[in-house]
Amino acid sequence: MRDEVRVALMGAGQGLRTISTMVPGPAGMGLRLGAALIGGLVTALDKGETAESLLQKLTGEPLPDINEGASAQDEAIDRLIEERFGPQ
Amino acid sequence: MRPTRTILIAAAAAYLAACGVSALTVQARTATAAKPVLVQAHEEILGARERAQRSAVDAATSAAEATEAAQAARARFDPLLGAYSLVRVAYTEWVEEMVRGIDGDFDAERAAGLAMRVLARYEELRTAAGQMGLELRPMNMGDL
Repeated sequence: MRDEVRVALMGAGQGLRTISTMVPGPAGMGLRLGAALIGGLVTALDKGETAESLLQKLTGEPLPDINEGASAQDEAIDRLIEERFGPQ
Repeated sequence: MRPTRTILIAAAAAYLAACGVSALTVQARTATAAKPVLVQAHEEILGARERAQRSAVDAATSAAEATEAAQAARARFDPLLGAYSLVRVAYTEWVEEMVRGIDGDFDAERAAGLAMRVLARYEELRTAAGQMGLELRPMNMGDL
């Protein structure tokens, strides 16, 4: 991507982002999303990735389930209590 | 739909077409960039939850006291687990909407609405975490 275009896009995104901090509610959120999408556009242009390859990675490695992590953690803490104080 | 919004979306679509990038690619890229922020939030919440439980156990003098204190620590973090789960559901729906759009009928506006929901849910999570003294990083332009 041409440097001038990149700078202009990043400037527009940063501007939106700055304004979004002054705008409350859904409108501010919309401005933030606009800034985010401009960031996405710049990166997509730079990296030349396809939607298919990006989505394949996202669906292949979904966001972690925090409840699973918490359950494993609880089991470890229960074991720690047992080790420290003996079985109840 | 409001005229201004229609014009903006049409202008964005024209610009993207001129750049040779689809709106789907831009949103997929944005979702890819957002993911590490969400994964980090997951790790920080679980990390803080573990520290809270361990310090509760360390301060206890009996198994019963340790169990009770650990359970109290878990309960304090339940709202954060719930808030993170809502972010996860919203994010998954956004990604699924994009996957459905690969065949050519991508609804950019609907997907953008789902993306908005991810941002909104994440802000709610950050607020809830902040009330517990846990600072989660904001989603900045630099991340996305």
